[in-house]
Amino acid sequence: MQSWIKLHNVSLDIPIYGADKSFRSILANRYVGGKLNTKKKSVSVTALSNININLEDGDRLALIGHNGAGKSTLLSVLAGIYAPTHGKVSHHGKVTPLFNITPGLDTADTGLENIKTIATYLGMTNKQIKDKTDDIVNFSELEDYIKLPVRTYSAGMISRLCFGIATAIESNILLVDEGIGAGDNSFAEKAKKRLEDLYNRTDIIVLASHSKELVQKLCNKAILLEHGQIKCSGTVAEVFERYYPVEANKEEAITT
Amino acid sequence: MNTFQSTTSVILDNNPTTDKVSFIQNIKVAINDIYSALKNYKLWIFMGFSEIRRRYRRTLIGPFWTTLSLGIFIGCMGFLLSSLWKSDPRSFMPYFCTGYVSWILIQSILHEGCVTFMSSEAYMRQIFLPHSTYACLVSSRNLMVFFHHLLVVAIVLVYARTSINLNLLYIIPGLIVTFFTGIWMSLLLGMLCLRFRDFQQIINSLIQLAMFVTPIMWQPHQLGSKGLIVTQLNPLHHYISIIRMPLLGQAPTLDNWMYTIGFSLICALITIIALSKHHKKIIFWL
Repeated sequence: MQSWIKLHNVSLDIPIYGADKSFRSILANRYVGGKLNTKKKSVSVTALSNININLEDGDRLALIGHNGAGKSTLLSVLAGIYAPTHGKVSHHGKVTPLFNITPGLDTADTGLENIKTIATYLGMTNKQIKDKTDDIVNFSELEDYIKLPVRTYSAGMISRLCFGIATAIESNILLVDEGIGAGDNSFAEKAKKRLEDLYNRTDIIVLASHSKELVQKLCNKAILLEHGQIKCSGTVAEVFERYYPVEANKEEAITT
Repeated sequence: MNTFQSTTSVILDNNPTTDKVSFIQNIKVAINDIYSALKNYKLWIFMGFSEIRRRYRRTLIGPFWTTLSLGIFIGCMGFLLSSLWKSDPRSFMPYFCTGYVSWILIQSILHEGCVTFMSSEAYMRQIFLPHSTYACLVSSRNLMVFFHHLLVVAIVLVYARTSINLNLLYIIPGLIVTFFTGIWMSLLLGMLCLRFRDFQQIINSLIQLAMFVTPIMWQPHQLGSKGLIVTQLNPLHHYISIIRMPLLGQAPTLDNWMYTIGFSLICALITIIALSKHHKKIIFWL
């Protein structure tokens, strides 16, 4: 199946409710984040303006930028959580946001019950959940613990379980905010393989990340966001050159 | 090659001539939101079940705790009221019990409808679901609780030796109408209380008042000729009737059906218009 996701001239104003005057002035004085729009009656932040993105099968897009540049907001727009103020978002194929890999995690429920809950919220069908449950249980190495309440688990066990569920997703378009990771070192190799497997069977991935290493490993395209606008776009190397001009120069100096 | 680029030219579709088109489009968005939520019924039924399970986890009798406390309340109040009204408990108890159980259903939908979106904030920010899903959740969850309460009704009916007849089947359309009105009310109140937080308090105190104005603990004929107007114009009375009367083995009147179905349709219309206007903004109101 051919998947695609398109953003055409997308702008997003986020209205702020309950903002009194002092709050307004605090916002007006800050320089990070989006531009502030106080001309209208209500206070609103222009979180994104004029975004054009066109992704097709095989695209792995990295969103790069400082805190508050609009990376997570853009992911929310792609996920359909925020509807754009202007412009159009269209997509073909199943979109799964993975901002939080544990939606609905309830520590008083057993591991098996949580697999069902979390997988349902992540958009898996009952049949998929049934087929994948054994796989998730095997992967997370919880064995008999899977029938006990999650509150009896160690932190590592919980993260293994959640990672196992999140990586069982069958989706066309995956939206990831920072990387997905799991637990202890002995587990890392297995987790890496499973994550690669997930990334390989997904048509399109959009990743918002601060980690240069992760982006370079995973992505083939990148856009640099600044104040909700696309500053530059292109291959990962090209964009990083703009984002880390100083570091790039340093590297050049060392190699020459 | 570069398939995505930033353009500097600003072309926005905020042209006033397109307003009319966008109104119809927004209505379509709202209807589609409700339709796709209803179609995905497995999800909100599952969510409702797990929420009820969570509420009473590690208790011995689970959701029947509310049933038990309801039973005690109905038992005590029933005898008290029947001696106040000087009527036979065996005839008054079924009337009071069925009315009060129906009232609890309606009241809890209205109560929880005020926080439809507030209580689902975590989900709304993490995953994309039609907004109406959360309204369906409120309505269906309270319907599930209602079925637990039917145990109290059964006990009272056995005590009063009321015979059950085929009129009981009218409860099915009765609950369907109540369920759908519950969805509209949860959406409307959910939006209203989310945007203007004061309304939650206002509605809560109105609900308290409504319980006494609606014939639950008293019968309409006790008010005489004035009572007829108070009860006939009160939509809550008609909603209670379409659930209460089948349980008592009577068929609801044509008036009851007309009022409830009419009220539900008007609510549906207002909800669709309100949702079409504010569909995009709900997430920002959180």
